[in-house]
Amino acid sequence: MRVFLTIFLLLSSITFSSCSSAKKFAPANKEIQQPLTGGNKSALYKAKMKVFGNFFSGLVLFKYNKENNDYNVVLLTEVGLTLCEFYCVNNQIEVKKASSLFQSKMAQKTLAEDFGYLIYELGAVKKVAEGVYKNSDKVKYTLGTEAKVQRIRKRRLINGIIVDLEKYKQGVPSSIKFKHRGIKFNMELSLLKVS
Amino acid sequence: MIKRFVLGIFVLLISGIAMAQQDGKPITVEELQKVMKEKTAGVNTISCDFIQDKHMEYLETIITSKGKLFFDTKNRLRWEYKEPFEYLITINNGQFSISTDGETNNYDIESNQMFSKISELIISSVNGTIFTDTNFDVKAFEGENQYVIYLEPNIAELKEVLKKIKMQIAKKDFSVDKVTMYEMDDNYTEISFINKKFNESFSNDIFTAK
Repeated sequence: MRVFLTIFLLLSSITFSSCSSAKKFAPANKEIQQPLTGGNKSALYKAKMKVFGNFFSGLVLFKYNKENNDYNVVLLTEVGLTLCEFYCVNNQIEVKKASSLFQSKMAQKTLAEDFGYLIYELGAVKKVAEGVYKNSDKVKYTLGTEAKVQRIRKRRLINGIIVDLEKYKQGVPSSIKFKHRGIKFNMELSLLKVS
Repeated sequence: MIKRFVLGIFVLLISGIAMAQQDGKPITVEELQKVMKEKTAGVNTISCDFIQDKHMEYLETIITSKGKLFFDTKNRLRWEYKEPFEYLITINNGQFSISTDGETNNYDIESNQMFSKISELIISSVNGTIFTDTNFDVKAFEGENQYVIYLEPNIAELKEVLKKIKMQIAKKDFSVDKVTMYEMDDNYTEISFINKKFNESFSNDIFTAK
């Protein structure tokens, strides 16, 4: 019995330690940064959205506050009305306020998640292939030239997503295309201004 | 506590008086309506450039966009953003159209309450008749060079989106110089109309979104 217990404890400790080390990723590669880095104060994009075949457009402002290391993301109409505002700190994004014209919780949640992919700090990532890294949430980042993120991919049965990022200008992508899987919602962001 | 309360009331009163003095002497909407009607009777079309500044106070951000506007007395409108993005709104013959990036959405004003309201709001802001709109409580002031009108929405749909609208009308030609829309938070959008031209003839096509 004692021998059995010793073997059991020994095996258990090996199994648990190997499990925990499997979950632990290599330290974050410093060359990899989130697509919208904090080096810029703000980036303004024109947004085109297709939701269940209907076309919508607007503007999206990403505003970085260096002091608190946080972001405000504002969705507004071209004529200037604020539709929804998100606040992101410590890789947590939430709806700060929403106009009566933009009350769909599902739309708010989907947009919050999409914007999060652009501004979340990558944290610990591990190399899974040449130029491809994966974080603990199983989000894959494909890097292009100058170690800029070219593609973000999250596999899921419902609401999987591919984000293609192109033509970096002043450190931020000029074109960002979100393709959702499982829900009929696609979004394209085109850079208007960065400061 | 009472001292603070009285001081608060005093500050509010002073700031209210200061604002009214800055804008001019109060006048009735009927007076303003009468003058506007007389002075703009001969205007059939307006075209101008506009500069729109969206102020987000707490984010210390201003988003500027520019464009061109055409309007005629048949209540047809072309509101076209050219910088930094292209976006076109046309209102023509009961139809409200939005066109951007090769996509055009058409809405029937009669059958769509929201677009009917937006259409009314835009048209009346441009032609300066917004102060006769019963959806707003109106206060008007006459200054040296301009009339200043404050409009506060009194219906729920508008109240949820807008706190108030400030409209500045030039005395020299009785056209709208500036419209400022204040949202429920500190955000506001200021639209300045410049390079105004009156009674130019336009092609009918200009009021069609393509």
